[in-house]
Amino acid sequence: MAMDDSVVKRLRAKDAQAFRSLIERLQQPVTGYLHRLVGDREVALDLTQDTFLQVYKEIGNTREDLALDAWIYRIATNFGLRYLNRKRLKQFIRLENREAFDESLAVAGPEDQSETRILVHQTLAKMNPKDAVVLHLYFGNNFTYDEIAQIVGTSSEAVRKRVTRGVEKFRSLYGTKPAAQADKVGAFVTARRDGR
Amino acid sequence: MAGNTRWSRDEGDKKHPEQDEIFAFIRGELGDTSAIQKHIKECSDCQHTCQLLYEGSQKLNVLGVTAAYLRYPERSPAQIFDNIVKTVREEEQRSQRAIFSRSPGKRAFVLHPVYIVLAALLVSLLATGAVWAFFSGNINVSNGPKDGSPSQQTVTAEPTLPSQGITPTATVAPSGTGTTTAATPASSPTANPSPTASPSPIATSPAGKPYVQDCSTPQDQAAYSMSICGQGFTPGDRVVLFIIMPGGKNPGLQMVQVDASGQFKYSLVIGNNCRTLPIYIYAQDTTNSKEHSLNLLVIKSLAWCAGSSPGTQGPTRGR
Repeated sequence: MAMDDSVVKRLRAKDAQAFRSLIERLQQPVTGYLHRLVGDREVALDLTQDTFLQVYKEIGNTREDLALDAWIYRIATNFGLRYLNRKRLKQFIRLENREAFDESLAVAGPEDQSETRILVHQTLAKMNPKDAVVLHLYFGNNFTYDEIAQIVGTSSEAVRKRVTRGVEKFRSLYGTKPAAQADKVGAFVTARRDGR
Repeated sequence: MAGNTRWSRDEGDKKHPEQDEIFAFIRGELGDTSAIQKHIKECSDCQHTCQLLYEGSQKLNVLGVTAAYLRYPERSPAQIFDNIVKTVREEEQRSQRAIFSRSPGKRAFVLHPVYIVLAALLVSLLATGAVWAFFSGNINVSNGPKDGSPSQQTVTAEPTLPSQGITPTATVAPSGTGTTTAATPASSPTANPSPTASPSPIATSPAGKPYVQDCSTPQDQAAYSMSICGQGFTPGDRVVLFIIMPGGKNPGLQMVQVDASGQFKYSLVIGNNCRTLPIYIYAQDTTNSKEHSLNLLVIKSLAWCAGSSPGTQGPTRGR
């Protein structure tokens, strides 16, 4: 995640080319991370836009030794968590269906893993968002503990423990899928296999 | 990662690798795995933990696969950058418009905390000034008796206490002359509390208006107390006495009953404490709220207080 100092300098000077390069390099992974975290493609695209807008506005207020990528992921994480908190509040108030699932996540990957993908994302959606964040960063983006520590603003050791606890929690929740949900997943997988 | 695995002890004092060490072992992040491997082979609890974390870890690996497949071609980097620049420009223009569109005459009032503090200070200053003016020794009678006497007069009443043989003379001067007056308020020179008067030598109130005065006797003084007499009130009414002793314990509100002749008497125990001075006394009829004493009785000194001048009383205000 190390960055050339000159890149940060150029970004701080609001160099358009530097910003285009930055967006080109990070747009896909950041959007993918947010998509997996919030479970909604359109929302993820909007949040990515907001993230880079925030980067553009605030880069001038940062220190010169800024860990750029970690900082950007940190902004994205904050946007994602804020969205999830609001969504949970709305669901709580309106008693909305919490099992809505973005199918674009299910189809991204080998077909024989569709069911696992759906269940994994649904299980992560049930977890504490902060625990889900470290699992997404560790397993989805392959960040090291140190890099995740920079993003979430804690120590590397704390991240290591949180990842372990998260995996354990995930495993315990993964096995407890309701029957209706399992049927829905099964129907979705069958439909895909049959080309419907 | 180094091979210095961290271990912890369970309730039976048996050593186990910490959970995150087992996870690191599963993920291949440990350097030296011999000790932990040997332990897991022998420990069923750790085998279970290992199994749980392995399964969870295997499932979660699909996140990496998903990430590799996800693509977002609908928004190109150039498009995102253009949107950012556009948004920033719009925000700048909006803030500039907000600054320039504000004409001096139409500037919105902002309730800033500083304004609130200043307003509170001003109000407290005004209130302090009003209270000080109200309780100051010199007395302003704004509404004098309506019997042809001057409608506004400045009176400082200094009758001696009964025990000191009082025969004050009274002169009343219209306001603005600066002349001081010794006596009861409404130009009645006959209003002299007599030391021998018992029970109460009450002065005649101006045109029969409600009035309070000091009617202490030597017996009162001997008991470090004073008598407050009222007259001119509606017979049978209940009157509340506002007694304020800024330097001592305030007796607060005292209720008295007006007798058939429109008078009342109240005995106020002061004690041998001269710090209670001055004492302010004012009467308000509670039965008829419009009726109250025309004067504020001010006791500035007491006979038993060393170096004190005779008690001072005087009218302050009326309706």
